[in-house]
Amino acid sequence: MTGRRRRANSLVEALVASAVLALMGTILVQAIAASANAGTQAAVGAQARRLLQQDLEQARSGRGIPGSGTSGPFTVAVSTYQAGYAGLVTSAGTPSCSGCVGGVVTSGVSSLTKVYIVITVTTSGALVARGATVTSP
Amino acid sequence: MPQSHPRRPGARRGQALLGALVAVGVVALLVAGLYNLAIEGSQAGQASLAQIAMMGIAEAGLNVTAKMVIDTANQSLVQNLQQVPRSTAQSWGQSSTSYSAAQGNFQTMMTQYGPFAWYGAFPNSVQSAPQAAVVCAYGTQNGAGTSDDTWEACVGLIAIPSPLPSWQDNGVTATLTFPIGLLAHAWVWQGPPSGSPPGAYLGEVTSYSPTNLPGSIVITYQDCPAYYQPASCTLPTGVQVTVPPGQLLENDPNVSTPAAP
Repeated sequence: MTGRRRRANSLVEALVASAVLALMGTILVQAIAASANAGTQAAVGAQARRLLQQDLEQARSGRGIPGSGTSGPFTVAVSTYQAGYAGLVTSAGTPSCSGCVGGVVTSGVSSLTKVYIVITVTTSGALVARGATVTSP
Repeated sequence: MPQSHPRRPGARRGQALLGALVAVGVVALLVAGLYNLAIEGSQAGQASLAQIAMMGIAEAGLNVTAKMVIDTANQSLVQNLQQVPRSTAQSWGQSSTSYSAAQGNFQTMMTQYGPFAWYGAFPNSVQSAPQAAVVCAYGTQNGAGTSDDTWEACVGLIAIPSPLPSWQDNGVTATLTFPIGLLAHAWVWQGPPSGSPPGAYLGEVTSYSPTNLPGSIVITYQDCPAYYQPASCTLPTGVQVTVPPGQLLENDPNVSTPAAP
């Protein structure tokens, strides 16, 4: 093998090695970037979930209905509806005393408020958390 | 002295290929690990969000059903208890010298005067399943996804071991004080009620009144002299029912799951 041919082979090998290295490096960098991005999203999601939990707890426990607006990097949208139910599972008992009234009073349920909370990232509009509950009786 | 022979070009290329393959394998493992980490983090976040949404639904069910119990207690039960004869109330107060006696008197009170369903044991509760005057309801609520999920909640009034009921007569008025507690569970399923097949079971939230904050049923009578006993002296002059507030307990391991409504 002549010196010139050997040098040419070495050059090809070096080029192939460089290409493989570049490809591997790119994939690795992309994976690291995706992992870092996932970490950031996890942190943002955890922050949003904490905010959602606080707002749901406020509504549920009788401390008032949380307001819409921005909170840190998030936009909180609060919608309110009349609370309701689909039906009774148990039938009402019939008191045995003379002249007593029976029946479960269900009309008051409509005085409760269903609170629906949607949290999005303000800059991107991406949905990060949502949930609903009903105000305290 | 032995002379080392230079390696053949084929062997050198084989070594280079092996080295490259090892490097590729190591990088591939690293990349797969990083992506797996990202996916697991995302799944954990989604599970956490679903858990919060489930709790919101269960708590909504508890609040809706508790409202029914409170309104029924303050309206129908109070109205019915206006007919309790003084002698009966006195007997309830004076004979409740033990928890089981108090439970027996509570059962009599609730089955004769209460418009609730009576259960010998609180439904679908393995531990602490006392007899109770119960309302169970079901409904739907927005979940973490776009569709509604189904809740079922049972809220019950129970007799409590301490303090026991009492009868007090100060010569002007006589009062029966009957301490009561609250026990409630709410269960959540994915999707609408009566789904076919029913959606996945998502979780449970328990609510109970702490022992230091009982509610009560208080029935008051006017004392009349022995020579003057009109009907107003044998019937209550006042009835008050106070349903105690509940404290939440998430994922109570001692609660069984009913069939989806």
